[in-house]
Amino acid sequence: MDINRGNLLVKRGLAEMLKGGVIMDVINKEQAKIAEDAGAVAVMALERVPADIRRDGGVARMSDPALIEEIQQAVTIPVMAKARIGHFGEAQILQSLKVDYIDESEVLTPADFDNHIDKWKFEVPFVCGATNLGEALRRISEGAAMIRSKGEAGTGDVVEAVKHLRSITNEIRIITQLDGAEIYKKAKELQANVELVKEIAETGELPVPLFCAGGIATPADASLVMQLGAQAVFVGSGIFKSGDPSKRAEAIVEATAHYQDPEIVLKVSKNLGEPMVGISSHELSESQQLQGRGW
Amino acid sequence: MKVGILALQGDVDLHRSVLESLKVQSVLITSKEQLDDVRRLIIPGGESTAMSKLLVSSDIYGRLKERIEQDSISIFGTCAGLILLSNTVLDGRQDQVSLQALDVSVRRNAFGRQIESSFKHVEMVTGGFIEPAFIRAPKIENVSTKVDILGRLKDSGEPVLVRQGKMMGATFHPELCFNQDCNMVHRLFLEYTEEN
Repeated sequence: MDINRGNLLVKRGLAEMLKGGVIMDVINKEQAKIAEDAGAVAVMALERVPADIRRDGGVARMSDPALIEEIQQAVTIPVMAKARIGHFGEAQILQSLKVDYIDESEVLTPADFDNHIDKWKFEVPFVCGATNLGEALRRISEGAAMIRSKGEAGTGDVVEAVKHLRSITNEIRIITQLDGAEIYKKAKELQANVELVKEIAETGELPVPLFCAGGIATPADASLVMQLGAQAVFVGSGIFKSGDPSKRAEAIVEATAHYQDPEIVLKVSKNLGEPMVGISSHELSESQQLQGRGW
Repeated sequence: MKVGILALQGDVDLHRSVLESLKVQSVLITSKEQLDDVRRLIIPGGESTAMSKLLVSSDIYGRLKERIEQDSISIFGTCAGLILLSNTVLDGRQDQVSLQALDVSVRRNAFGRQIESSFKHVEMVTGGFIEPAFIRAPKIENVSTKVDILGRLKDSGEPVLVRQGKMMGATFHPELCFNQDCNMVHRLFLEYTEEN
């Protein structure tokens, strides 16, 4: 029991260290260096950013391990990588590669329509996406050490990330007002472990760090989601699909650190060049949305 | 008197909880002006490269250097915080700044990647031991004679907690621990820097 607790604490520990920072999607070592130069706290190594996965279609899988290795060698900050939902075979490879965090991600094509990975079996920590509190708590029960909003990846449209973050923090606020009996009912509604719901009732917080992902494209987006309760920010296509990735990356780092100071966010928002073009997430049909993946 | 916590990036929340448990008021520092209100500062764990950039862009770095020269501030750094305090950073980025306030050489990520992160036994010179988390932790490789060693790894005897005058640094996270025992490290910092 204690050993498991220790494991979770060590896994969660790295997420604590990433708080207030920006984690950037990169597809090669050159981009990884630009990200590190700009002040990223970690990079997510992948073959295609979500915007391209969306455009190309087909099956999206774990990246070539050689590519991930090259990125690990290029930077000194933590390197994360994505495995398909339920694909513990891919996750085992990523653990052998010693990536610092595994993202069991809806951006890739799911490998299991019923089950997520049993993350307790791994020593490398996992981050999972969630659209609401019930989903977040199910992932935590399976061993996730960090939760991120799913948003709608590869769109450059922040509206879904805002919806998911607000949904999670709103449910948390409601739980803190419930009495003992109501907590059981709430756990049933959320399809979540009652012990975790009790913990939230006491602490008023998710048991693991809550980060934001999916559609962040500007410093103002980063400032918005941080003020809505995100503790750090993932930026996928938003940086390297923009006109001046290096400048935009630096600006998003500054805006995330100084999200409470509009003067600084104003200063860094000027002259960033073209943002990623983006797709309004409401123009996507349900089958084109990635956020519905995960159960 | 409040203790400042540098809040540009990193595990600020965990340090704040420790101070709260010790009934010490804290104030989060994100600008150089806020720095003028404190005489004691904690630099948390996080990514030293990211923090280095943010320290320079906010000019907190310049103000901190002045305060260190005037001997008007006490600083405790954990993990990335220790790296930022040290004289020499090994395996860092070329453009990474450090405050050069602790006469030690520190190697970044010296244990390896996250999978090597763990709890380890630390023997305190003041007696007793603690079991804090080491997360992608650095190692102290050289310690000048001006520096006191306050804690060592039980297995190897390597120094992991050091102090020089008003500066204190840990390679580990006393703010991330199974139990309250690790609070003794924060208490040490508060005792050493008690204001008369």
